[in-house]
Amino acid sequence: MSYEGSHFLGFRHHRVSNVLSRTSGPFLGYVPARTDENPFLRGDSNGRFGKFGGKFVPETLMSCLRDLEDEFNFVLSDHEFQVEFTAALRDYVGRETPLYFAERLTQHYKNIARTTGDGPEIYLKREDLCHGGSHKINNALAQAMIARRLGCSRVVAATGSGQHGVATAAACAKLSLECTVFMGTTDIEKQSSNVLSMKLLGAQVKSVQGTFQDASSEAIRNWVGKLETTYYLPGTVVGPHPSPVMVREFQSVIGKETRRQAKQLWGGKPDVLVACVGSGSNALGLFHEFVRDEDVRLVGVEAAGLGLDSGKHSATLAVGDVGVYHGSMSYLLQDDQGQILRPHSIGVGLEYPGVGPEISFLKESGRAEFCTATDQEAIQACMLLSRLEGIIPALETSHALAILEKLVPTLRDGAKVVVNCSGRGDKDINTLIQRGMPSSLC
Amino acid sequence: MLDSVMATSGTASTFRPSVSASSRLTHLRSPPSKVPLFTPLPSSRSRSFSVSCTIAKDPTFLMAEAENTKTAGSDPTLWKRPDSFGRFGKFGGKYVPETLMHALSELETAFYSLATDDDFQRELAGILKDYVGRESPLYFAERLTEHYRRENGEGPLIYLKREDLNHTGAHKINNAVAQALLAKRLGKKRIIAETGAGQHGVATATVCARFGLQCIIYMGAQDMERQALNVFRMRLLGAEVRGVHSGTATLKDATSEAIRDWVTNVETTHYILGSVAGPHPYPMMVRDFHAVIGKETRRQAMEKWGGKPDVLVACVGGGSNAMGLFHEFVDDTEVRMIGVEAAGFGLDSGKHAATLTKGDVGVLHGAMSYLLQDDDGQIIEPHSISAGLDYPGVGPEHSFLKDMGRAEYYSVTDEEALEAFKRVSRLEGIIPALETSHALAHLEKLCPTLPDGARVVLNFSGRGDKDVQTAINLYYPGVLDLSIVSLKTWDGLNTKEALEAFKRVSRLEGIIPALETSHALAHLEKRCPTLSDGARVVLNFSGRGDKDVQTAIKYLEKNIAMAAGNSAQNDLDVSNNTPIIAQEASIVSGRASISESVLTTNVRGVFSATNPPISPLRDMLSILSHLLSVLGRLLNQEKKLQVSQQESEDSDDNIITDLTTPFTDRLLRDRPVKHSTKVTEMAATLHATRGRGKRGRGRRGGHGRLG
Repeated sequence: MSYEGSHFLGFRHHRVSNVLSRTSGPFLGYVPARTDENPFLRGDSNGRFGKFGGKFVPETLMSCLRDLEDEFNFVLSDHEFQVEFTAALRDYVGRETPLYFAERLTQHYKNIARTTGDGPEIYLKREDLCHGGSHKINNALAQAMIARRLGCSRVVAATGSGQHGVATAAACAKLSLECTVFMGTTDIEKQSSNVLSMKLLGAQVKSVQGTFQDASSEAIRNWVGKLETTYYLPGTVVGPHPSPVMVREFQSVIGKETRRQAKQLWGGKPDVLVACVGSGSNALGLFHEFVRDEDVRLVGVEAAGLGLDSGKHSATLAVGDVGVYHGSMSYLLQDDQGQILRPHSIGVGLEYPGVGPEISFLKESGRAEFCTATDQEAIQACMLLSRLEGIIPALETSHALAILEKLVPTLRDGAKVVVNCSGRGDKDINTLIQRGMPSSLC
Repeated sequence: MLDSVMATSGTASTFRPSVSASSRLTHLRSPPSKVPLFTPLPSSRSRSFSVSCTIAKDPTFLMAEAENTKTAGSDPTLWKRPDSFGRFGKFGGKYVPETLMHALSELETAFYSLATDDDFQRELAGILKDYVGRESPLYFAERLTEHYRRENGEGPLIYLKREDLNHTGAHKINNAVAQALLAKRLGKKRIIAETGAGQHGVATATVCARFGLQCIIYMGAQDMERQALNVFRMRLLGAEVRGVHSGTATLKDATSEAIRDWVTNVETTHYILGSVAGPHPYPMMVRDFHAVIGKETRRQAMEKWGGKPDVLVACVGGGSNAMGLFHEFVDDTEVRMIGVEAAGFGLDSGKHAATLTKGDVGVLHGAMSYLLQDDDGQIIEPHSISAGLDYPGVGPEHSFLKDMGRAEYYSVTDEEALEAFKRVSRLEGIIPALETSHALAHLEKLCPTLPDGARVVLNFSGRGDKDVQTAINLYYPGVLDLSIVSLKTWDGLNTKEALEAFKRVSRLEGIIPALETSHALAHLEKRCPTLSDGARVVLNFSGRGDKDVQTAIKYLEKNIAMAAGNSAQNDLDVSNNTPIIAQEASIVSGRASISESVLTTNVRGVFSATNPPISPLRDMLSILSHLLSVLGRLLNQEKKLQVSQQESEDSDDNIITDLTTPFTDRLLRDRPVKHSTKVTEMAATLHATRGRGKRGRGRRGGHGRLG
């Protein structure tokens, strides 16, 4: 570790140290900025959101996670880091992304979903315009910068739809870090274009039998083998503390921008926020800023795949139980013996058998609502947005859009709905073709 | 009179569209930064102008006339561009059938009147911000700058204008959005466009979906096949894609068909042109819609370093992205402007798209400009690796800027562009479009000549997602092999194949074939493996090769020299790019190390309580099955190796390969060690063999591709 957290005076980052002394010490889990806030906003010092979260990891990892946590807490208030990060977000990622009023989509729902000709106004938070084509880069870039500060020369990551992989590969290329991305074999087939992009960006892509969950396991295993030089870059709000908090914090720029833009556009707050939930990074990025605003409805949409009864879905919150997976406690898809079930969704990025602990907590506490959309509904929504707005959304995002069909009729006239348009659909064109789009298209 | 009014009022700017009727000459202008998007002029003036346009006069005469009028001096760079006839000097104009004249005049009038229309401007600005995602950043490319830093630590600073972050991934949308909005204002509900590779079609379909306009895209049937993905994308966006089967079924036939459609339905239809080419007012209109790129750049430069850029670089096909960046700075004479064209296989090969470098003046698609044409004035089919630069003409204003010496134009070959494509992807994590790669490639030559601290702004016009497949399919036969090894050898491949056949048949049959015939013979190399046993092939042995012996010897010598040069290059690159070259092998080693970690640390069980533990037995089984596949591959590899060895004997080109190259060395190092010796040996042999195979092929200058 070339970087020593100098603000912890004399408190060097030992790889092996006494867990107890660290966890009960005054600095640990101490968050400079927001100690007064309730646990809605941040996990407690042990990374717990209510009963969810935590660090269910082997001892060997504990020191590593603590280093990471220290560094993370440090950079949050480190001026130098913030300046560099803000500049990179602006010039490299292309933030801020617009909050776009979807005029024709709004009109469509006014005329079709409701016969009265009135209805809510729909806004899209255009994360699809970010470099790399999705919101993933916000987090990948920040963490790659942390990796560099920690003195790691190599980054490993696991990716499902390839979006996180591309984002990580791009960030690593920019910061001249070595990058290895693990990806499930079935995902590699479905998302071949993203695989090629990653290779072009200089990353090494390793295939793992299975899907995203297997790739995650392999990536973590690889990391454990080379802790000294390697940084594991989680793409989403799962895993042991501090990774859910960290990813959420870097993604929360989405919500912050939304608040500011809403203020500018209509001088108020959004009434409803909608986002898709696989493991939850884009949803939390949007929701987090508004969790304390009780008048803002938060709606997360999970993938129901072929239907909730079919057993082929990724609706963790709808039908899952609480368990421990990938280092934290959360809702999971598991059988009676506690074994993980294989999830399914047409949106590869939603195919994860777990969900972020903070999302689980939002559900448990009733702060956010969660519903589901099937593959078919997602495809329909994807087509609808393409035709009406000229924006081809990713299939993941399409799930969020699909719920508008049901949501809109229940909303009052003039309500402001913000949907997180988390990614662009170019990567999914092949999937759509294979799924036999309606004959009028081909 | 009009002119004098404008001159005294000082509100109009020279380089904006303006409707002054007679003079091409100019007057003092306000600074460009203060100029609104379009020249504000009372709409009454524009109406008076609507049908006065003619191009019947001889352009050179007009120019002479203009120079004679001394009111604004004879400096041509101060001329209004374009003049009231739609001329940039002698270039441009409206060489169109009469039926279209009305539509063009109407368009021109509308364009001028909307320039003063605040509603229109506000709506356009709103859409550019919220839908397109402007403004696009001016990004300091730190690692690229580092790359071009000279040994003494000096070098230019490179900034990228990130048009790739726009909606749909290129600058094209700026113009498409504005034109669709214009069509809506004109009350036209039907949009047509032509497209080659599909990029312009997708941009058009996108904005039509956004504004709810009917959209018809004309596309050559051949192009539709090649670009199936983009066709699907357009249909997904609700556009109707019409295949054109006439002629060569490519872009130029699609263009003809689209124009035919326009002539027929001119009352209801707007034709969206994607580049600064075509008849007046298109070059001017498209330029002004793209000029936002340059305006943002000026403002951002002022914010970032409080000055102007020193050099502007952009690629030129039709020239829209270059014009968009240059236009704002044309009057700042201290700003160097550099356009980069596609030289394809090389300027001398005849297969290129370097219109300004190699073309002559002529008329195409309704405007006079530089063109690639033969002695009869027929258009020569251009070539470039990037579809967007593959255009036989160039915007008339570029022709003008070149003739005036205001902008410089250079060309870059396919090969150089591919190198830049790879280089920038790796250095900056941004995959450029192949079009943009041409501009990036020119930095190689440009940067060493620039003074320390010079600020270069390069228009990063598009993202390369669309090109990843192309680049790999066409030029990296190993599909996943992104190394430079094969890159060096694709150029002139056919010649090499023919020469191989020339040699082979001479030696095997004792007949020296003509080089022409050798091409047919070379084809056997590919065809024979696909034929059934005993199939009878008749080959027309059209000529004898006595006449070609001298040529052949010359070429072969050169090739051998090149091959030697290549292999040196390869060694370097191989050591840099090991992970990617050895994709398959590294997956093998990756798998092995995974198994190892399971066996030794049993992390899996500890790490996640709910994960199914894998029994050691199952693990052993997977290793075994893997071994089998490795064996299979090994055998295949050896077979190939034998073939390649045979080939090398054929060609007297034997190369002794050291098995411990940097490449294999690294692999052996990375390979996990705690396996059974058998696995280790197996893996080592495999790696070594793979290494040998690749290198063998690499050194032999691409002969491996024959098999």
